[in-house]
Amino acid sequence: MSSPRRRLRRAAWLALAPFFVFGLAFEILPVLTLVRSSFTVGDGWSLANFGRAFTPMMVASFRNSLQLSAVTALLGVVGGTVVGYAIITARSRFVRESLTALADVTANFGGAPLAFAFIITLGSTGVITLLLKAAGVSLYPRFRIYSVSGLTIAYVYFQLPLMILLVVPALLGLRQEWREAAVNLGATRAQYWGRVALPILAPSLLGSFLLLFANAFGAYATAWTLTGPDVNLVTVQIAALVRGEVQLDPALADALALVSLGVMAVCVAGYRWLATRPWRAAP
Amino acid sequence: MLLPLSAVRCASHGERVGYVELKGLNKSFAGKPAVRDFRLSMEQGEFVSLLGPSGCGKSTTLRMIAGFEEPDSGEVWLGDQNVLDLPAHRRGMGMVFQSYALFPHLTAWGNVAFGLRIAGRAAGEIRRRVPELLELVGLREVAGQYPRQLSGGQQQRVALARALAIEPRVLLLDEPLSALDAVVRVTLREEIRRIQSALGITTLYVTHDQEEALAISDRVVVMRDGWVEQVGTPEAVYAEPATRFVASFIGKMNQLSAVVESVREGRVRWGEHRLAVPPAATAGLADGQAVLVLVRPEAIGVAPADAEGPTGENRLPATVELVTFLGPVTRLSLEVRGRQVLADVTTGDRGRFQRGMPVQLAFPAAACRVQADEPAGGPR
Repeated sequence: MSSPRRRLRRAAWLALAPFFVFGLAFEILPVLTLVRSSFTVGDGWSLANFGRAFTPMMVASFRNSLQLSAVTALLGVVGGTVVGYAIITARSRFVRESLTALADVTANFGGAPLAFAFIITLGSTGVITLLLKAAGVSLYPRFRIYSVSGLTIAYVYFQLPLMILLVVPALLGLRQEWREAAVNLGATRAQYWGRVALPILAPSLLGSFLLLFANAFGAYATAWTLTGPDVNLVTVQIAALVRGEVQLDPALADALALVSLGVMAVCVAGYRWLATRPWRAAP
Repeated sequence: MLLPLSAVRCASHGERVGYVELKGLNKSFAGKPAVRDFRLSMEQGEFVSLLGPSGCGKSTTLRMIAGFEEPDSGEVWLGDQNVLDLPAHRRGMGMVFQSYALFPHLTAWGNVAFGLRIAGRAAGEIRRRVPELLELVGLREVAGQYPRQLSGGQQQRVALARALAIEPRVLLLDEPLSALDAVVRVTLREEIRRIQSALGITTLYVTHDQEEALAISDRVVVMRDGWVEQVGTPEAVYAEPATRFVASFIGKMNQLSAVVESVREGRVRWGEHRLAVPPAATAGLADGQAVLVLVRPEAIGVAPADAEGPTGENRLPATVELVTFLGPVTRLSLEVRGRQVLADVTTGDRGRFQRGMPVQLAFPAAACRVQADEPAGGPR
């Protein structure tokens, strides 16, 4: 007869069953289907889909996605760190909590609603565009929200608050004694940041960069709603191949998705590795 | 052991003079005074401890000297310079923190070298001095290890070496041993004193541990509620507490509420008993004035009632209420006509006393200190 502890353990596993079922149905099975489909041509295994995934147009889509992700991740890391530091050093608790809540909301505000928000503010007939025009500043035609630069602004809108949420705990983990010890040893504020704070924060910042990179790389709805097929991104190409706008080619879409999955996996693995670095500042 | 002191320059061996003068320092937080009119003069090479309970203002005082807190008023003189005008990074004071505050991304070697690199010292000099400093604190073998790989005691030694590396004019230590276990604490406090004596560096040490302060200091500053209660050598603070608070905070002290019977003859009445005290101790008091007679437990001799009595002008019958083993001594809680008196006997004599046993106690007049019995808090 099994002991009470063993029965309890069995019950605990049973309680996790819904999670496993969900994970199997919506995570593992789709990925397995993706793998199978991308390596299949006709009735046999083949790498032909991957060969077609690296045509000049597809390579350009990867290049654009990688560049857009890198730039918006970098802007998010730099801006988010500065704003995050401003938040944690704000004297007013109300200001700290309000800004953190705002970051929480805006970090999750993406997709079509975000694109629409930018169209009605910075579009060719957007509110801000018209106000600026009335003030004598013409954004168009030099600037277009329906372009890569417009997409960059839209992505930073959710990248920056996400970075704030990621970096605030790390910034709070910077102990006051480290700053005082550095100052006591003769360091100026700049030397403290350059030789103590940033090296301690480095794993957190790099890890956050990778998460932001993956976040931007996988974004689709915002890009599609804002720029349609004008900007050649991997996610836009995958959607076009699945929907059959130019050609219906689910197998090629799966191959592209699998390569994208590889990029994301590298980012997440890098984040996890950096997150476990022993000197990482922790709250 | 190991003191490559020839290579470890410090203030006392160089041309600089580290003489500290703290004049009327005051500091309040949100209108609540933390330090009040703090005055202290430290000789070069002196080891002074700030001693007091939590929240008495000792760490705030240290942080004002280091430049981490700005005093509301007062001056901090180092040699012939008022350093309050200098930012913290230019005051030339080495500080050791309670939580060590070692930089986690640097090895022990990197931590010790930090201040030298900031000062722009030549690479060759850094390569020579860092091992010397690590050897000074007995940690040369852990140079390549990160703080997380070191024990608490080792981390604090590295922190000490790091503070000494910049050749500070004054060394400030903020409860450096409070996070360590008892055995390491005793070893390390002796190590700190040894290094301080060897380098002759002027040192201000904050602690709430009276045993620690008495053991390693040239002088002790006892603080309470932001005020300085007493400044003196450990012996003076222990034997001649200036206030009721000092008497109760430093070691155990019997505080007998009495009335002066004769100032001229040095005599007080404690309940039904007359006690002889040094006539000088009642100077300035008046006959009939309420006083506290202070007697250390170790100054009181105890013997069984039927045995030959202990010596001392003040002899009283008592009953043993409690026998408490404290290691080398055993503390007897004695009842003298409804009043409690503590007396320490050597543990070798412990077997002579049992609970409920009638005894006689005695203590010399010279062991008594007399203070006017003022409301709790006493004079300032």
